[in-house]
Amino acid sequence: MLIEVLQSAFSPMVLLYMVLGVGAGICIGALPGLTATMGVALLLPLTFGMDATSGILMLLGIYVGAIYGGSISAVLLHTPGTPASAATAIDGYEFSKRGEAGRALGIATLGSYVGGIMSCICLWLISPQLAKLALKFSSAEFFLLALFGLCIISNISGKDMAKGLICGFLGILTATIGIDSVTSYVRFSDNVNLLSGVQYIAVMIGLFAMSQAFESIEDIFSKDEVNTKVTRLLPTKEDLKTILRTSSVTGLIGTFIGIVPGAGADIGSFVGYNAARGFSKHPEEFGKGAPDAVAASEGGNNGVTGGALIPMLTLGVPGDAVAAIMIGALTIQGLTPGPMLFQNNKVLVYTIFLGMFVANTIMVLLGFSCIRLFTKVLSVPKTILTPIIFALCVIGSYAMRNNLFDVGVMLLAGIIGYFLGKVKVPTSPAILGLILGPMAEKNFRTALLKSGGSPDVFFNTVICWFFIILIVVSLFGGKIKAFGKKIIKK
Amino acid sequence: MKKGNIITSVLVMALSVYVIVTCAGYPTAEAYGTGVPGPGLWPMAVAVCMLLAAISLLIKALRTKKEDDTPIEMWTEGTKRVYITMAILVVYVAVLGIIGFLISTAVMLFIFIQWFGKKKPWITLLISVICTAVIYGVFKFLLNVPVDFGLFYI
Repeated sequence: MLIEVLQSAFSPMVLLYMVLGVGAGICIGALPGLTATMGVALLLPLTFGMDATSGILMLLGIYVGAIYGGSISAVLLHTPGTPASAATAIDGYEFSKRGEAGRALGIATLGSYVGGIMSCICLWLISPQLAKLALKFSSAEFFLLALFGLCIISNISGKDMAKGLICGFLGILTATIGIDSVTSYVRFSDNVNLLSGVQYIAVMIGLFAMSQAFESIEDIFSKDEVNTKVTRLLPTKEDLKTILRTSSVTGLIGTFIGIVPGAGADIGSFVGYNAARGFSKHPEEFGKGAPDAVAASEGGNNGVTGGALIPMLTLGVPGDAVAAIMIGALTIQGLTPGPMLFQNNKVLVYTIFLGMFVANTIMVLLGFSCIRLFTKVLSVPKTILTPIIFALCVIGSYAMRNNLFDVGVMLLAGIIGYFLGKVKVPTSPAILGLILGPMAEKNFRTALLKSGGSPDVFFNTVICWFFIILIVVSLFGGKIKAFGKKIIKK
Repeated sequence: MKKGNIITSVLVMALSVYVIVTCAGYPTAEAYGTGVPGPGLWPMAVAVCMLLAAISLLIKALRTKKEDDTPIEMWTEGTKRVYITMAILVVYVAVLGIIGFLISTAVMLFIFIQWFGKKKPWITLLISVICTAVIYGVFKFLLNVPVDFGLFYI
């Protein structure tokens, strides 16, 4: 098997696709307004004609590249290229002001690499074990798992819990349109294009690419210019030590945030940044251009990339929005993510693991060799790029199943997404709803079908109780903690 | 923000009620006799939760004091541009199936790039035709997506 994996991961075509993917990813990430999710969603149609290995690895390359690429504009322009680099912008731009943009970019590049590699190692170590455990899951356990994933929405939706929940529920309801999988009853619409359900890739392209493009129309005439020169990229010995120390830890933190459904790279980088400030010897330097701050944030966000794949591959639960699109990519290839993937497509799974290493390595090589080229990307005019994104959204959602109806769905989702953004409703919970909603419903009813309608089936096994405890903690964890503190104070 | 939150919650509440009423008309578990909940139970349960979330949002919005409120700019230069863009795109998607991909996409790109970029028309025309051709070529010949539809079959 080892030879097969090596052969498929290092075949010239796959390597070429990965280099292209990482390169495209870095450019997409570097451009403010284009996020990693958008990049993967826009370029997903390119993988329809490829075999599963090349397609998935190219998407992984885009993902890894884009999360790193965001740091380029964060350092040079003080505008994070993707939300994942928002924490990098704080300290990274201070370097630019001092004329040390190159140093910051070097730290960011290597920090991303270290974080990415840490998450690869976790992916490699945790996934097979988790898949083995998940093989024991029956419908009842999968229902509780999906429910747990849905409950997490309330924890990740930030300041306004109600808004995050509403968005999640909207996602679940959207997924119920069409033929019900258990009773074949047609729900909500008997439009022939909706019988097999709303195409969620079209919805995602709308929510993450189209609505982003609408937002960038608002200030289409503003221009970003790079005034600093990038010199001395390779980190000094001292910086190297800082990077290795900080990024490896925040990479681990990022990985675990990636595993949590729905929590993405933006959260990973901020948690990593705060953690690094916590254990730094000179926390007062954070915010004023500290090298460990840049290393922490970049290690944290690239750590998420591998972490997000763990639940996606083993359980079919997306770790973040990009992993959600990859579920779609796998499905199109006729593969169902979940424990069976580790049984039936072992070579592919291990190729993905190895591909993560390769993609990260390509990223660091491209980063150090071509960074000046990537900074040139920042001068691509938005005025031409945005209309092209419109065209790509349209053709991408059409190419799903060669259906113009899906283009309409995409545009509608884009318009709705734009207005949701205006009233500060986060859109990523919708993805969790779209994927976990049907999973929860189907397994809930299948479990009851098997048990003849008895609800005992949800309380029968240890794993069930484990999930029930997780659900309770995720819903009331904050309150339990506050209550505990009160008691201790008394 | 207060106004936005109120409008959002009212819209969501209306949607929830619609879903609940629709689902109430769906066959129940008895109709299937297997002990499995009918097709309406899940969406209805979700809609009830959504209704509760919307109500809590509404209460919070109504309690917001005027001085804590930050207005959302819905009618500025920028947002007006977005609305016009949306309208153009709706027309574009609507005629896409009739006219076909090549012509409508080239026209769409021309309109936007000319509007945003303010270059000489023939340069814009060149850019939009080349971009359309590249997208068409990549999807048709590299990815085998049948992009041929519409009146002119291109």
